[in-house]
Amino acid sequence: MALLGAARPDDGIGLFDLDVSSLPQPTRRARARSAVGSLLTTPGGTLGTIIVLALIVLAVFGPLLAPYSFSAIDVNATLQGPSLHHLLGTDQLGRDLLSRLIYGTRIEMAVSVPAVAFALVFGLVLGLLGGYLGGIFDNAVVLLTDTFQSFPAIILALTLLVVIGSSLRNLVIVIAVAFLPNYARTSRALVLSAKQNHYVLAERALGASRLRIMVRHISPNIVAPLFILLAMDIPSAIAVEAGLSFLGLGVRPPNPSWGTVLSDGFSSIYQAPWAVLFASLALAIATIGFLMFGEALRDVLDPRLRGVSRWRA
Amino acid sequence: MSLARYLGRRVITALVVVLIVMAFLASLDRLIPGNPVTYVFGPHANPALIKEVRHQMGLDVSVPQQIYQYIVNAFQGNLGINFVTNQSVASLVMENLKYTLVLAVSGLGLAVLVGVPLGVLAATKPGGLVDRAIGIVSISVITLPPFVVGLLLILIFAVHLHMLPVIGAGAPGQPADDLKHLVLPAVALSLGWIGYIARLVRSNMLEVLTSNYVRTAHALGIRRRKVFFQYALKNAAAPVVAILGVGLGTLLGGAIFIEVIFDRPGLGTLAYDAIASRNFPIVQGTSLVIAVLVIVANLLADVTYRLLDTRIQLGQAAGT
Repeated sequence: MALLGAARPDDGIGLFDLDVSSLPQPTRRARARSAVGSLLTTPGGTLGTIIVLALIVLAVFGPLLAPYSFSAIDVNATLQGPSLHHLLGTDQLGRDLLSRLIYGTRIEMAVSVPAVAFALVFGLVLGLLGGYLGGIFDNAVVLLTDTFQSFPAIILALTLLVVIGSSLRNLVIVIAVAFLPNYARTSRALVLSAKQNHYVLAERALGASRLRIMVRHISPNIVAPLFILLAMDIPSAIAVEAGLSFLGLGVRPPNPSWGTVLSDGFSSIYQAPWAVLFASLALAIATIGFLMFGEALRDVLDPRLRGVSRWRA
Repeated sequence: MSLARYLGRRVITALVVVLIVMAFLASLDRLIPGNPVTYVFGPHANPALIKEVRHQMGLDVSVPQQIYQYIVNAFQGNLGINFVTNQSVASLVMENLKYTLVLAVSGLGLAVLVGVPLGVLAATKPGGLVDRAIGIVSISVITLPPFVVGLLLILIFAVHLHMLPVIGAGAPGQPADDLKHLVLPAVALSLGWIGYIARLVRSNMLEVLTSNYVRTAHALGIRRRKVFFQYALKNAAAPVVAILGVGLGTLLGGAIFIEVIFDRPGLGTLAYDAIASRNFPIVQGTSLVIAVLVIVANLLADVTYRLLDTRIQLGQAAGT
């Protein structure tokens, strides 16, 4: 590890490509194992990792794990409290809440993860163009991010959704657009500082093209903080999705998102508080999980950022 | 850079951003395939009616011309016509804006009034009971979006305790009733911010308290409370101003939901009802007003922050 650490691209020498191959390197598996090990060193990191893994399992294997179908109506068992038959109770149509929340996990993940990933990729491209090329590109990127950041994320997503209509794909698009400026802004700042490094100067002296410097040399050095942002933005994206679905703009019934479960539960909050309670709990657990996972990831990927909290977009 | 020049540049940037926001909103429903009149009246509407409404909405000219016209109109306070009731969108938005502003300002006010003293209190004894309690509470509340906090508050205070009203904004002309109706929505909106501001003030206070001027003040025998609240807090609270400016947007976004679940009048309810009837000019007008509010708040926060904290070199941290 020490050898690898000494030859990392940000060491300012810029001979990474020449040197490293001749050095003894830990195998890919050993490196992965040590990264996972570091994630699990703190209680918070362990909890976060467990929650995130559990959410992924629920999202992937939901249909196998859910005791009922998400849309199975049972008119004899409406608005029930938790019982052995329905662990978390039922909604106003007698649908099993646990099953709806499990299927909802799949929708939350299928919307929030791609949305934030798209935001990262396009934000990174904008940030690279603005930060590295400078001049008119930079002004354009700054103005663009300023413009989009003057809309609260949820308002921007809502306005766009009204225009393009709601569907699962469009949810991903509008949430990606709403989160994009933050990534563009962050990557621009990272690019501005990364391009001061000597290795960039060395590459330029060697005659590397601007595209090559941006893609091969700057990007790898700035993605770590962006990935941390990504982990911590997933709960915000889930909250936006839940909000839009709560307003009836997101996932269409009978499909269950945590937002539609909340909105169904809200309409019968006086008779059966369970739906609101358990859906809020699901949101809270997911948020805490991703935040803790993100913080642990930050400590592993970029210890310099320790203590920088970004708990509110 | 002189203050005047900095101000001038900052104001011009803000104006340019307002212009782009307007152009963006104006182009939205024009750039999308399909025509706004058809999606309101359906594909089988009377062609004469469609032509009439298209003319009314200014859709029978070229797209750049429409965008230009929208911007010119917007600067004159004309945000288009609500084509369902034929009312002016601007007057509808302005009518509802005051409710949203009252909610947002009381939410922010509450957050500052509770958050700042809590932060100072936590800083007087780091690791103490208050400090740890704030840490735990702020983490648990920050994890929930305001509308979920609102739902849970309704569950506790209205469904179980029957303590506070949760529907509407109170009878007009009865301040006591209005205030009662404002309590839960404002608390729902501010809870996350209380913890956030408390943590921010705490960490700033801890930093400021180690500085030389605070040590000197202590050495001079000035009363502890005075040092804390008068000397240290002034510098520790400056970043809160910046956070508030940036945070107003998030807060307004949350207010939209709070209005819908507490059934209060305001921009959120207006937009929500408009969405149901696909009444785009209203959604457009609401977004525009909110965006302009955020831009102005950012501008004011930036300027105030720099006036409060003279250590910051003007222009250097302006971000543009």
